[in-house]
Amino acid sequence: MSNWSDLPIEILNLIVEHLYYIDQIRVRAVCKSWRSNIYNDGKYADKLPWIMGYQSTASENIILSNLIYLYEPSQKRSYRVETKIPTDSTMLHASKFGWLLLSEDTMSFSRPLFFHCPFTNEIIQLPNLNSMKWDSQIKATFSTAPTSSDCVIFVLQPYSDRYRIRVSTCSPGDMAWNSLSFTCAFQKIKNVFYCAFHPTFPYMGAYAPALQEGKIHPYLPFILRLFRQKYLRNLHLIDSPDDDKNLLLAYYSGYGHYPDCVFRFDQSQMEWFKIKNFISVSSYNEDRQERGRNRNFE
Amino acid sequence: MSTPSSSVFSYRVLKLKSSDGEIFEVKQTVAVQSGVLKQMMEDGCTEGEIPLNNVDSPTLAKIIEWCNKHHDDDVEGRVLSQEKEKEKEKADMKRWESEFIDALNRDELYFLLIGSNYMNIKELLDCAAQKVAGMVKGKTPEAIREMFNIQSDFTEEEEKAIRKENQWAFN
Repeated sequence: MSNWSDLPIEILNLIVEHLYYIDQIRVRAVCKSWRSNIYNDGKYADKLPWIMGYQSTASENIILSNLIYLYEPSQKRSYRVETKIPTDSTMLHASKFGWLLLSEDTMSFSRPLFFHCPFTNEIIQLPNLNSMKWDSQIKATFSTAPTSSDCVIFVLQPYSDRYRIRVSTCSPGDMAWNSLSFTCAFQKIKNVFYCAFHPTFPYMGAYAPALQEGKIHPYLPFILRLFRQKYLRNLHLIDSPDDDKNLLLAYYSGYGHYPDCVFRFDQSQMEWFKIKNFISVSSYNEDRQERGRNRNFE
Repeated sequence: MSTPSSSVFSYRVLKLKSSDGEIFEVKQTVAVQSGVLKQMMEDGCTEGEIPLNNVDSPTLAKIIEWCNKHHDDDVEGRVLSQEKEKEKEKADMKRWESEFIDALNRDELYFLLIGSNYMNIKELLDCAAQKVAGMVKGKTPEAIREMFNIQSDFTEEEEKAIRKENQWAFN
């Protein structure tokens, strides 16, 4: 007789590699031996990063609700997560490795940044960051899970002349941020941080911390045209943490949780390409019917 | 004895003995798909019966059926000139593979996984693993348990705690 709960570890994990992240969570809940024998090595069938949607104000990324939405583009399904994000003037910057990078909008030159895990509600504090002006566009992201020792948090702020950028970096546990300013240039660099600015600054910024070099890439003319015609509300970059080929750009026009359209940045050609049918029409329409203004990120 | 050249090599036959004592004769060129048998051939220790203690005769028959299908009769001579022909052959093989795997019941599939892993036949193991993944996809833990006849050995508290960790995924 077959005994599926005793399946050898290597076979079990070979099966699990073919499953989407969501199915892996459920398979882990089947029995004790499966739970302890399945490696947690980040091998999923998911080819595209999940999208997370949340309620926010229109002009700033201030979070308005404790309810977040997860959207799985591979199978076009969505899920709701109840969490305890502080919803009073908290601004969202990035989401990766199960963590959100948030900051408190203090309306002053000092901005406290912190990590929040929406699943466990853990918080990791970071030193206060001096912003150049309180309403300047701050773009922030991070390299690895904030619980790992090599995590770097990285903040970009454009100067008012729009051709120079100030970069600030720190790691969890640091007492202060390291900041430096530089002029953007077009260069091909590996291990790069990217950031999408609102199209008033019509470039995607990129910064390689190891080389302390930065660059900018123009957006597609299509995106700039939408922005001029006021169809475009916001842009967000989505990157797959373990795959630097999958840099995606999402644009939002209406009030749905999910983007209208998603583009992929091809690093070998330095060009943007549209991904067809990233979001299914049906789930998009469902969300359009929900009330409130919603913003999205990875 | 001289070392076997590839042409001599291809006509020799291995005697595989299943866990229940049945003998199966398999051409070396077919058996080479098994990493374990290939290693034994290279080491020159394939004389007599080769005992496969983890594979019973119904499973071994299935495995050999797979290997025979995936074996190219004339490895050296045959060149597929037309790109189209190659594509068609690939598609036919895919269809055959899914029919082969779909025809198995739960027990047969389980022992095929064990057997192909034991004999190190990567393509067959992958194909069977993908089949199981497809069966599991989109199912709740309860439905997966029922499908594979697995008893939950979590306590009620443990079960609750596991769900609480990722409540959204179980709704």
